[in-house]
Amino acid sequence: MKQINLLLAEDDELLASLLHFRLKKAGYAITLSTNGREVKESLKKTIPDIIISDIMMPYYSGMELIDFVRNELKSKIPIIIMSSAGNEVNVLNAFKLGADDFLSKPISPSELLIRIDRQLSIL
Amino acid sequence: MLFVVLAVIYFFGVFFYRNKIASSSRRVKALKRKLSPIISEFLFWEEGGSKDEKFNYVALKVEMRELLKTGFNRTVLTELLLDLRKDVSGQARHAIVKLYQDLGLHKDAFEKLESWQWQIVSKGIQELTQMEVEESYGFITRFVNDKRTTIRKQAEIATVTLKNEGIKYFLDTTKYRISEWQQLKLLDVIRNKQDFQAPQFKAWLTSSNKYVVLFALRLIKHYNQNDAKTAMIALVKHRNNQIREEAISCIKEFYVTEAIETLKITFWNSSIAIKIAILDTIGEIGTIPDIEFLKRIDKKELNFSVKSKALSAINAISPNSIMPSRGIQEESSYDIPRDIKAKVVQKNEANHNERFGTTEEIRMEDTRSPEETKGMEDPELECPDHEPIELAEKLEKDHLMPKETNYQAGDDSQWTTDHLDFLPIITTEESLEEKGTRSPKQSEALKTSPEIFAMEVQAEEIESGKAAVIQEKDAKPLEVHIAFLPIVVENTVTENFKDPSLEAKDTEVREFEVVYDQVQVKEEDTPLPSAEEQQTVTVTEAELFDFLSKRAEMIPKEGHAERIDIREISVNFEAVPVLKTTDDVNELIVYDSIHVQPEPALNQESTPLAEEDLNFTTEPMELSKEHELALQKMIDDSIYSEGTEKRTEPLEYDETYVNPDWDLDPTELDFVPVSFEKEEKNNPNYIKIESYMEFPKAAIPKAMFGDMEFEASTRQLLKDLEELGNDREIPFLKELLTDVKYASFKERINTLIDKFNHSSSTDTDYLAHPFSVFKDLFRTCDTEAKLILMDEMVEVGDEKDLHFLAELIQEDSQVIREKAILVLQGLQEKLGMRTAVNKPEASPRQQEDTHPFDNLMEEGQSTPSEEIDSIFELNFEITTSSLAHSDAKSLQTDEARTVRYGSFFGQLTVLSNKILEKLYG
Repeated sequence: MKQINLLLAEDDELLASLLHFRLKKAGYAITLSTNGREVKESLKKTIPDIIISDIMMPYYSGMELIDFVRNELKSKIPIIIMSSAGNEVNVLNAFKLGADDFLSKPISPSELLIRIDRQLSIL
Repeated sequence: MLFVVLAVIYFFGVFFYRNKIASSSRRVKALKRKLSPIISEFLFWEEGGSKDEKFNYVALKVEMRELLKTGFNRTVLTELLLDLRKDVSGQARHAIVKLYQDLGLHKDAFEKLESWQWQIVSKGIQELTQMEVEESYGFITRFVNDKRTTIRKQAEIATVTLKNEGIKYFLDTTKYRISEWQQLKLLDVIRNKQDFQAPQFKAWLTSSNKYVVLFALRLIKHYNQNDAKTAMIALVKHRNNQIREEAISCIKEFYVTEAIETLKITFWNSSIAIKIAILDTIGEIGTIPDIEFLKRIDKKELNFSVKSKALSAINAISPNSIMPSRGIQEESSYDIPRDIKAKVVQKNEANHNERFGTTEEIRMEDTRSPEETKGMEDPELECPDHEPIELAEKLEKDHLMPKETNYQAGDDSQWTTDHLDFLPIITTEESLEEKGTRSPKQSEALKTSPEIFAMEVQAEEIESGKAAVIQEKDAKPLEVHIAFLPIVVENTVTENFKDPSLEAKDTEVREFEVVYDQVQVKEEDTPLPSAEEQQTVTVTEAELFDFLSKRAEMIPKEGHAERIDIREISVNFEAVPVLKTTDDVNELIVYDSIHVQPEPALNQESTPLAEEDLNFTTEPMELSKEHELALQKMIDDSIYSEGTEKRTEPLEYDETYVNPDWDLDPTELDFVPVSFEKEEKNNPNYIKIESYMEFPKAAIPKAMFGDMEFEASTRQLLKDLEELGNDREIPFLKELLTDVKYASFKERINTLIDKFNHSSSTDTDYLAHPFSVFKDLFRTCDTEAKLILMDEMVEVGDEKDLHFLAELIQEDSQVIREKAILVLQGLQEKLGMRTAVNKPEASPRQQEDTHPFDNLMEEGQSTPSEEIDSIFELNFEITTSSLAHSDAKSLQTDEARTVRYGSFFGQLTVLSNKILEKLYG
C-alpha cells in the first residue's frame, strides 16, 4: 500500500514536532516545513497528497501558499488550514482562495487525523 | 579618558549580558528541541506497542528522570508543557496535564507559592491552574483575600477553575472589589467549565460585599435564575446605583411585574441613568394603568432624555399613543393649487368624519347622564390617558378664548376644533378589550399611584353624613404657545364606554365620605382606688423595703461574729482556715474540698494562734500509732469512695518505716494538700493515694527534714527504669541501692536488677538466633527464587544465616530441604575456616581474649547463657565431609594468618591471598 505524503507547514517548532510525531505514528510520510519559503521550495520539487498549513508563517503566509498551489501549480490537492486567528474573515478568505478545510487552534490531533482522512477519502 | 573607560566598561557590560542572554536562549532552545520528541512520545504512548517501542519508552523515561534532576531542565520542561497546552486540545491536553503531574513538576509550582515575591507566587498559581492541579485548591484559596491585587485576582480565577464549588467559596469569602473585567473572566471560566452546576446565586444577594451582590445579580441574569424576585425588588432600593441598575435590568429580563410599584416609588430619587432604566423597564413590563405615571413624568421631569424615555415607554405600552409633533409644518404653509386643495380638504374632512364623526355627532353621542359626567368636570381626569388633549384644550382656552372667560369643562359649545384642522389628529388605539381587561390589581395600583398624592387638591366643606367631593385643579395657569401641539382625540369616548377602574378612581379621589364619630367620655365602672387602698400599697412597699433592709442587716458586719441561722449560711467552695482543732485527728471533719462556712468567719479574728491553742509543739515528734490508724482509716475511706475495693485484710506495718519529724509553722494556717503512701513489707508495689485531701497544717504538720522531693524523684526514676530500662542500668541501680534509705526502695531496686539480668540473658538468646537477611527475602519468593537465593547464601552468607538454614531444612518442599542441606554444608565449610580461629583451643591468643568477657560476666553477677551455642545445635546429622576442611593444614594456615594480622605486611599478605582466592575460587 502506497504511503500518503503529507506536507506540514507550521512555524511553531513545538507544535510541529508534536503533530509530526502523531501523523507519522498514524502512518503518513511527513515533510515538515517551518516557513513559507521552505514550503514553496518543497512544493516545486514534489507535490504531496495533502497539505496542512498554518496561516501565519515567515516569508509566505498560508493564504499565499493556497494561492500558489491553486493558481501557479494548478493543483487540486486538499489543503487544510489551521490558525489561531479563526475569525470569520480569515476562514472565508481561506475558503475563497481554495482551502478545503479550516481548523482553529488549539488543535486536537485526533480531530486533525479525522479531517485528513475525510479529505483523502473525498479524493 | 574617563569617558573612554566608562564607554569600554559599558560596551563590555552590554556585550557580556547580551552573550549571556543569547547563550541562555540557545540552551533553552536546544533543550526544547531535545525534549519535544520525548514529550510527544509520552503524550501519544499507547499500551500494547511492539517490544522495541516499549524499550524505547522505558529508555526515554529513564532519560527524562535524569533530566529532571536539574532545576534548569525542570523549568524548561514546565515552560514547554505550558506552551504546548495552549496549542492542543482534547485528549492531547489531558495527556499534557497528566504528564506534568506525573513528572512532579507541580511541586515546583507549590514551592513558588511560598515565595515572598508576588510575581513568583502569581506565576505558581497560574501554573497550577493551567495544569489543573486540584490538590492545590486548598493552598490557593488562602490567597483569595490577599492584599496584593495580582495574586488575589489570580487566586480568584484559580479557585473558580479548579473546583466546581470554587465559585461558592469565592463569593462567600471575598472581601475585596471584583472588577468588571474580573467578573467577565470569572464568568468565562464558569461558562467553559464542564459539568458545572450553577448554584442558586440569590444566596449572595444578601452579601455585605456590594461587588458580590452585583456579580450575583449578573450571574442570576446569565443563568436565568428567576426565583429571586423579592430580593431583586428589594435591591431596586439599594443605595448603590450599579446594583439598582442591575436589579432593574434583572426585573426587566424576568418580567417581574410585581416590581412596578417599587420602581415608581424609587423613580423620583434616582439618577438620570436609573430613571431611564426604570422607564425602559416600565415600558417593557408595564400596562395601561402605568401610562398615567409616565405622563406625569413627562409633565414634571425636566431632563429631556427622561421625558423622551417616558413618552417612548407610553408608546411601548400603548403603541402610537404619542406621535411626533416637532418640525411638523402646517398645511397652510404648503402652496397647493385651489382645486387640488379643495379636494384634499374634502377628503380630509371625509376621512375625519369617517373615523371620528363630526363634532356635532360627537356632541350628540355624548349622552352620558350628569351623574356619569359628574366626576369628569376636569378635562384632565375626563381623559386621563390622553394628556395632550388636556393640554390642547387648555392652550386653546388661553389663546382662543378671552382670558376672563372661565372655561367650563363639558361645555363643548364654547369652542370648536374647526380652526385647528391644520393640526395632526392623534388617536389612542386602546381598545375596549384592553380597558376591560385591567386586572383588579392594576386598577388598585392606579388608584393608589403616587402622582395622585402629588396633586394639589382643594376640598370643600361638606355636611356631616354626606359625601364630599374634592375637586382637583391645576394651581398654575399654562402660558405656552400651542401651535405645534397635536390634538389627541379619544375615539373610545364616542362609544359611550366608561372604564370601571377610572370610575372607581374618580370616586375614590374626588369623593371622600367622612363620618364623624363623636367621642363621648364615659365614667369607668371600676372606681379608683381609695385613699386607704393607696395607703395599703404604700405600706406594702414599705414592708418590702423594710424586709430588704433587714436582709441587709442579717449580713454580719466586719469583726462581728455571732451564730447565724443555718438558712443564712452561704456555701463557699474555697478552702478556708480553721482556727482551732482538736488533737484527735479522727474528729476532723473533712468535706473533700467543699467547706461549709459562714462568710463572716473569713474576717473573723485573724490574729495568729498561740502554740498552746494548737495542742502540739514545734519540736520534732513522731505520729503516734493512733494517729496512723486514724489516717489509715481516712485513706481506706478515700479509696473506698473512689470506687476501689475496701481493704479487708489487716494492715501490716513496716517496722523499718521511719516517720518523718514534723515542723510546724504556726503562721501558716492554710491547708496543705497531702498524699499518703503506705508500703508493705512483702509487696514492693505501694499504695499511693493522691486524692485531693486537704488537711490543716495545724493538724498535719509539714515534714521537717524528710526529703520528699528525693523520694518522689527516686520513685519516678524507678518507675521509668522499670518501663524503659535494660541490663545497662544495672550498675546505676547498684549505685542507687547504696544511696536510698528505705527498705522498700532497696527491695524494688533489687527486683529491677534481677529483672534486667534476666532480660540480658534473653538478649543473649536473641543473639543466638540472629536475624538473617535472607529470611526476609524468602517471604515473598517462589520456589525458584528461593533456590537462587540459597545459592547466593553460600557466597555471601555468614553465621547469621546458619540458623535460618537449619529452619529451612524442616520445610515442606523437598527441593528446598535438599538444597538447604547442601547450602548449609557449603556455608559451614566456608565458615569452618573462620570458626576454627575462634575456637578457644585453636589459639592461646583467643583464649586470652575470652577472659575479659568472663570477668565481665562475673562482675555482672550473672552467668553466660548456655543457649549461646544453640545455633550450632542442628536437627539433622552433619556429614563427616563437613569437617574435611577443618583439618590441621587449614588450621595452621589460619593460625599463621591470625598471627600475621598484627603487622602491616601481614595485612597486605592476607589481602593478596583474598584476591587470589576470589580469582581462583
